[in-house]
Amino acid sequence: MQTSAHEIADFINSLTQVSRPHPVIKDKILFDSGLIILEDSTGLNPGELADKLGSIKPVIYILDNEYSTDSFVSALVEANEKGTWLFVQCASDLNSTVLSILDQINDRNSFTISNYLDNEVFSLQLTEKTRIAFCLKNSDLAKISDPYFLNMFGPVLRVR
Amino acid sequence: MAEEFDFATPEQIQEAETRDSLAKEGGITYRTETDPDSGETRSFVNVLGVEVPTYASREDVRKIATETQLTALDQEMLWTIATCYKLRQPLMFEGRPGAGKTYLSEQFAKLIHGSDAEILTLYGSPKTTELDILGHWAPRGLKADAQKKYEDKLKEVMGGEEMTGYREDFNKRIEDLSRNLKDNKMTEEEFGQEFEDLSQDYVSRTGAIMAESMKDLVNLGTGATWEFKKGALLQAYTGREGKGYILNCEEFNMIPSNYQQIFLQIGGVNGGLSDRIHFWGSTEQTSYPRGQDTWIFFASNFPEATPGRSEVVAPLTDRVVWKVISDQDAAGKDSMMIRSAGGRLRSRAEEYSRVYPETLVIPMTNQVEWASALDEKLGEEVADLVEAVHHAFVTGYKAIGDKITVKGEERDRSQLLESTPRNAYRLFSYLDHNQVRDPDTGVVDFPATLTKAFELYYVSRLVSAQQRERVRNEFGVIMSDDIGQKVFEGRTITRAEIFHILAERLPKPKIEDERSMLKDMTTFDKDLGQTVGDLLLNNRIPESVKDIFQIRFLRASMERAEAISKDQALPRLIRNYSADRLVNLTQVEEELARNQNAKTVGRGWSEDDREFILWGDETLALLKNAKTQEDFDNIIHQLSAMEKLYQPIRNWEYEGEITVKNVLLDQHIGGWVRDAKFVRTGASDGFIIAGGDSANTYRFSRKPDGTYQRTSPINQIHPVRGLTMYSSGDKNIIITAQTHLLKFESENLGQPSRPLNLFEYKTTSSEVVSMGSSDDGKQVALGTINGEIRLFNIDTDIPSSSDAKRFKIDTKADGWPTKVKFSHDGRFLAVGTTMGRMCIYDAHTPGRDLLDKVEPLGPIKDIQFSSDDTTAWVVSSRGLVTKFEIEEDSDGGIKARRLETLQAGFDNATAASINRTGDGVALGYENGRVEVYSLKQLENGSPKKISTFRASDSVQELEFGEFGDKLLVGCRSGRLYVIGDKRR
Repeated sequence: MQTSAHEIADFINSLTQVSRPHPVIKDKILFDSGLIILEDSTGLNPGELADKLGSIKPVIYILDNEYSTDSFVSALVEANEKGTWLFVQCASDLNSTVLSILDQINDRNSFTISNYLDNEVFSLQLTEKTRIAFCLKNSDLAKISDPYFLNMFGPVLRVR
Repeated sequence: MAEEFDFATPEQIQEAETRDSLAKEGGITYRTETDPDSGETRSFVNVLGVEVPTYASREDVRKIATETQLTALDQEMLWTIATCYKLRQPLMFEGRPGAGKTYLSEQFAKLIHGSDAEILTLYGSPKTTELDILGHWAPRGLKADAQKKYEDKLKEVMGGEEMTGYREDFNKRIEDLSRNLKDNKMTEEEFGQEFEDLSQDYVSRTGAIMAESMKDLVNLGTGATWEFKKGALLQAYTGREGKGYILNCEEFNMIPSNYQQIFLQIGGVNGGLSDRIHFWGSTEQTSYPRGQDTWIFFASNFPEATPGRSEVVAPLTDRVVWKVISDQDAAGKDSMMIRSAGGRLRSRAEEYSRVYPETLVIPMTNQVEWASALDEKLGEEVADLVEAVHHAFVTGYKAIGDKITVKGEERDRSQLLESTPRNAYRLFSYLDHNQVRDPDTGVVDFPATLTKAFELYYVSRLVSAQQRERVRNEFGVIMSDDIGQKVFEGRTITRAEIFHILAERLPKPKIEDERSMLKDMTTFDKDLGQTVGDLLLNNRIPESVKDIFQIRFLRASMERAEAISKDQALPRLIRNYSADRLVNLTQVEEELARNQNAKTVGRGWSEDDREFILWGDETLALLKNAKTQEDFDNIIHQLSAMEKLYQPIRNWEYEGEITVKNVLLDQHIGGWVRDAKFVRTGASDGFIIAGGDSANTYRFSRKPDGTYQRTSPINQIHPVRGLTMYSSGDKNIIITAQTHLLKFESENLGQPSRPLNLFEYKTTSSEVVSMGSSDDGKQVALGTINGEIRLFNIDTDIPSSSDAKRFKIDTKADGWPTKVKFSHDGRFLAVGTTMGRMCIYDAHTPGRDLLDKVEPLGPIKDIQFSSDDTTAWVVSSRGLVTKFEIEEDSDGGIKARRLETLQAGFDNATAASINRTGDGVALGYENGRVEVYSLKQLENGSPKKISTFRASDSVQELEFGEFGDKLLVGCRSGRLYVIGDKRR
């Protein structure tokens, strides 16, 4: 792996510390979600990256089924309760609800969805410490059908 | 013609208070109302003039209003959201990411449902299916540890042959239904019924497939039962125990077209949301009524601008109010956000997000109802107008379409819009709730109301600025131009005039009624007091009328302040109105002692109500005992005679917003106003010439009362890009230009006379973008889009191309010549460019640059030389006004030394003008706002804003009159105004 520990630390720092202003709400800042793309040449699996996050002890979720929604939300709820990251090892396309969650989090660091478990609607406000980091192989990027998937993320780390 | 003064009714006062409080509170206010019969208290939130019921608390609304900062574009978008929500018309914002579409819809939802509002969101992606929109079968009571197993099984079932085959069949049947609806092979009702049958099959079959395929789910130990979970659309209609939700459909045109068509059912009669959706659910309910709070908001991006996007299916485009957020508008907002460092620079952020009262659309408290007054001649005129503009829009759209610029290249739009009468119906619905008052007459302003509605439902659908302008022009022609005239009661007049006549005939309170109403007034508006001051100063108003007004004011005042005597009431009122001025003798004396050169003009009554006080810059003070009416009249006459006293008025250092009332001309000239000028010939009383895209040059003569009237236009075939005029003997010569120079002779500008076309000469292969003329009018300089400046002596015979003196600016470095200006002695020719450079050439020597590239200032909008040509002022679109000292050097060249730069207004001015004395600058903006700043009076180092005006739309041309007391305002729509002092 050519990517240095320093670069990974930069990624962690920028995801943890860098914020941007809400375009309409005064004094409200928004945190980004992060994306890690593993070049195939590294031979690394997303799961192996989770071990390199240093002091971050994320909740790990394996997204390998485009019909996964409730289990994804449950993992995110757990990460939020712990005030830590949700590290998503992504290996499949994303369904509309998961994309909606990412989009809403990008817009306002909270989301509302319907039909989670037995709730008509379910809302969650992320804590200031909660982050989402998606990690996927470069070859798996082609599985993502939403052309704006990359727009959902702030910092992107390409691991070589 | 005597000015008409109408006193505010309680409704007008309430509307004015609403306007003021909205401006003060950032555009959002809250109120409650208790039903006297039921005792029930209801809450309302007013969003930029649109009042709707809210579930939010006062604290919530206050918090949201305080935290929300809205740029002008945000305000326009939020107003559109609120208006469509109020009318329950589904709304689509089409624009690039970052324009604020989503943020604003969410903030609005919070204003309705509180900070914790649950906003349903459907995110459109290529993976969005009927499962997300309509619903799907899923286990209820599934334990967390079984979720993964269920989802794995679901993947298997959905990818299985049986489900795949069924869903393909379902898609095909939806497409067939939509096609039949589009081709008018079935009615909306039949579509709903067929869809209900299809949905019954869908729910039954998918339920059966799921149950069969997952029958071993019970073996997973879940203990779950099967349930049909409603998708976003059904939930929006029936969720929240039947009250419904606000649904945000994001990235809608990412959804595959067959699934988009499921939304066709939201289209109801009259252009609003349908009352119900036909769907066969698991409970065998087949019709889902719309909840009271249901509303649907869509957002999409331009399909032409972004790969991977399809268009919104055409039938749906007509079922929503479609508003395009242009890249230009969005870029302006981006710029403001960046320039305020993302809100960190508080003063800039506040400036960019200020709510200007005159931009607010405040509906009248009592709307004229269709069932009564409108259901007669007035209603018929409205319907006829709507039919005419709808037909013109549809015909034009079919013939010309729309265009979008992608990567600098203009393309035909691939997104097609359908045009059934739904938008016309929406417009009628809009008219039910949004009639605005004509501030001059106090009655309904139907032309203004209909113009706003037309903008919302028709103009906003188009991307191309040119096409928008075209349809605005068509509307203007139908409403206000000679071509759109109708015979009305034996006279041929414009529709706008017909509306004004009919609106005036609507029943209104008589003056006696008003007097009694005034008894009930508990508040008093300072504007009313201002009107009193104007009234009492106006010597054309009969004193008997003044007496009536005074009585009304006294009544109003006494109601408000019980303790004061009748004699004290009037002065107190006027003191209230002019709280920032001096109105009693003691204060006047103090002021005079402090500042013998006081510029301010003040006026008012003394405490004992017996003296009327005036003072000005050189007169200093005019104190007269007005013990009788005769004395008072004498003062007024003296005032009229004292020109010196009005010097500050000419410099706009007086009266603030009062200039809004002095609209001396308000006409539509049929196309983008490109140039307009005040001209004065011989002993004439002054004229205006104006022209633009309509390919006519209009002349307006000044009437004795100070207003202007149009005379016959000069018809030509080329659009006007520049205008100038000079006199030669008894003749008046008018020059216009685009790619041709046209010279007309007219004996009498003020009367309809057929002008003589002296010559038509092709000057240049590229379009003229700016034109300047020497003070004697005989030298004309044309700036073209390719950066060439050509100088002609137009007093000679037909000039030839070879006669022209030429200058060339470097378009790559400097841009286009936006302003060409001669010095008063005709020696210098100053050229301002889009890149903010000012070059000065020797007008007598072609190609000789005297001064090149002063400094970047932003696109230059106007240049003005002092009378002795030793000073030049330059104003840019950034509102920066720079003063240069012009000095000749020993080499025969000149030097320009920057003396100061002042920041007036804010960025993105679309037009600007500096007055001749360099002490005032006017700036015009895209939203129609015009601001006049004094360059002599500074506040915190910046020019003081001394007057504002609201034009109908984008301001493209501003020109001060010779004395700085009048301002010409030309708009993109073709609207032309003259505002200011009517005395000369």
